[in-house]
Amino acid sequence: MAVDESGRTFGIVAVDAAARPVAEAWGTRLRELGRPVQTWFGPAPPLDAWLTAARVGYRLLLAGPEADLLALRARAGVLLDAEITLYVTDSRERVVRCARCRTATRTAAAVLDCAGCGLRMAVHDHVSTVHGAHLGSWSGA
Amino acid sequence: MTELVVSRTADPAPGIRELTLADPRGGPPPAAPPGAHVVLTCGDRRNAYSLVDTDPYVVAVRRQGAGSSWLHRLAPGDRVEVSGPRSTFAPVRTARRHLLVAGGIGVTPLLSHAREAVRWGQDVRMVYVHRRGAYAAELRALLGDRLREAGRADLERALDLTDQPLGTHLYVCGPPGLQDRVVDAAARAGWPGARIHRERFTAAPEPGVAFTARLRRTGRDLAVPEGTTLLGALEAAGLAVPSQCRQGVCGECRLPLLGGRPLHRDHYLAPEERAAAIMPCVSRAETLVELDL
Amino acid sequence: MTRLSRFPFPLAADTFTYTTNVEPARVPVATAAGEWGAGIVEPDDEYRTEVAERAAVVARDPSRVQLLPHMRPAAWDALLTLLRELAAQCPAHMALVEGPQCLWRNDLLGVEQRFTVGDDESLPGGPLGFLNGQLQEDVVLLDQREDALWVDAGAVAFAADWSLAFVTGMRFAEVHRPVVARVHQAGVLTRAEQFLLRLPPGAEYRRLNWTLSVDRRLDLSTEVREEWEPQRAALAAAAPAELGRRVHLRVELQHLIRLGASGAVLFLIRTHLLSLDELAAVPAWRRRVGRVLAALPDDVADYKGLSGVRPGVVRWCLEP
Repeated sequence: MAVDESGRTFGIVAVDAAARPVAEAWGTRLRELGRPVQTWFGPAPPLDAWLTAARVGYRLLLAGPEADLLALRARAGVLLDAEITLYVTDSRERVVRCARCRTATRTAAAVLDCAGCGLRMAVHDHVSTVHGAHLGSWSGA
Repeated sequence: MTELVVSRTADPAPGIRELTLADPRGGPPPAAPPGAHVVLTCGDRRNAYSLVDTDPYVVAVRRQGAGSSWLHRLAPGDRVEVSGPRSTFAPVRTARRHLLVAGGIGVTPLLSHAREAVRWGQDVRMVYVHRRGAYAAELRALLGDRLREAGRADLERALDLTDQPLGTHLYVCGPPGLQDRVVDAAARAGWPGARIHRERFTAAPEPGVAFTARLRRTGRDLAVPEGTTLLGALEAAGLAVPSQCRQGVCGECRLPLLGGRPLHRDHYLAPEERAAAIMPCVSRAETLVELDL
Repeated sequence: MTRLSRFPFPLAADTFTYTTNVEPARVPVATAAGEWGAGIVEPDDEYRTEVAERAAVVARDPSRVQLLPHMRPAAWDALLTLLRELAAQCPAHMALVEGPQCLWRNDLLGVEQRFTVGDDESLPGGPLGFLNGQLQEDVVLLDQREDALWVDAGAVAFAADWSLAFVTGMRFAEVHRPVVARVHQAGVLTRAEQFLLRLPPGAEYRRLNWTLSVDRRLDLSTEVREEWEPQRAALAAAAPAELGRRVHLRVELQHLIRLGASGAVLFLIRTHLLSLDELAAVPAWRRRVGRVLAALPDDVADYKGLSGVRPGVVRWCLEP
């Protein structure tokens, strides 16, 4: 996946091992262009510190499982879609937010019991980039 | 269009006339967001002006042509046709900082932006490039050291586009050359287009030019004057065309098109439908359309 | 005005298709039973009951009121716009005095409230929480940026199977993703968003939406799905007398207004409920509902949640 070269400074996150090659390719290309890059390998980048220090012109490049990327996107609400590149390595698992108690549960199932209130939930197509989660609601099943 | 009355005139800078326009029936004119403009009918012209203030309406007119000269001749008590407000240069409410860059009389929409940001406690900075300084005193009082004034030559010194907090939005209004300079510099500093907003002083709803609607089945030629919609002309001629939104969206007034050179302005018809249909509520023609009516 | 005479009957033909059915607001519509639509908000004989119910819903679940910080100007704009509208509609009972400090008087609720525009602390519940207790309508506020509309604030007590808390912060297009495929294919939502994006300041439009629901329960939000969905499912096997009494035609009168001062889009939803028994007072309405339901494509019926109850209601409406 091509890197967004219109930015001035960059942050790169590779959440899991599968994300590493694409993140390294991004970093290599940006260093060739002489652009400042900060990089993090692993699921818990210091995103808040990065975003506080960054100035307009910054781009965030994220690679990893969809559920992790959605959570990171939710924490980077200050950025526009045009300032973020997402590369999904795996979309089997989803984070599901319970409509009743708002607890987030990570799952690969289409129907599950909420980890917070135990509600039997169906997972909907609805995805919130603010909550970084799919909607789950009561299912009679 | 409504008729407003000039309640006050002033000269905030040489060559610039400020008009205060009030509703003769009393009460406020239609509310408008920061950065909005109205279209004034000035003799046989229609010019768009940003609203410096909205209750009552205040516009600042720089003398630069027939329309603006006509407006400069207005005196308190005169009446003027004013369109409803249009918003094409509104503040982005999620901005962490509003960075306003004004050149000359381009300050007018940004003055309303600055007032709104201060009113709601938002981070705002302004760079004002000017020689004559219309509204400079008011901006100094409003913004204090958040305002930087500069001449054309030292704009780059006053405006650092590489050191703005993430989430800043940039608004530019002024002469095209200055706008291009600022927008190019922002792009070089990595600003995405969605953070850059420019006011181009374009007039809102185009009245269009007069054309003819040929009604093939009834064998009539109907004249559609400038400023009248095709739908309006058909209705005035006694033809009942079902319509709903009258904004080119709902599809209700769709008519079969047989020929001519239509100017489609709707949001309803798919490209492949446009050879055989027209939405008369918003669409017009260069000179002629032929309809199956 | 009775429930029947002011009911905005939504079905104009014997078949139903999704369209971007917007029309200018404030134009009265004559129906077989009366009239509706002369105003934007029209407090009626159910005003006290419904605002009390709205307040109770929000007291149980404060997440029904949402206000992202950048929407404060829009929330205050909506409050002033709608209080003015209420006062104009009910001059005998309500008045808004505007100034550095405003005074709102609502004799129907025994409310006299002073507040300062822009000071969220000056109103109990903030601008939207307070508004929620004065209006029969649900309120949603859309922000416009990046050539899109975003659902960024609201006070929604009577949602029909959606969740304001979940969709707050989402794009208009994302919010409507679960809508049936045929609506997307027809381009209805894209056109609707384009229409809203271009609404000039002060523009006021409206549209109707409809479904069937059970009893006079107004709060059908996703948060409490387990409280209402089983009842609807259980009615599939109900006897005709029970259907007539309990099944309601649920109509949303939606207003779409571009607020002038803030530039936000105000989306107002008034929910009207009329039972089949009440509806049958107009035989043409009863037949129309039966024919529309009989002809409704299965995917639309599923989306509206009507599949279970549909056969019984069709028989109820069309069989003598």
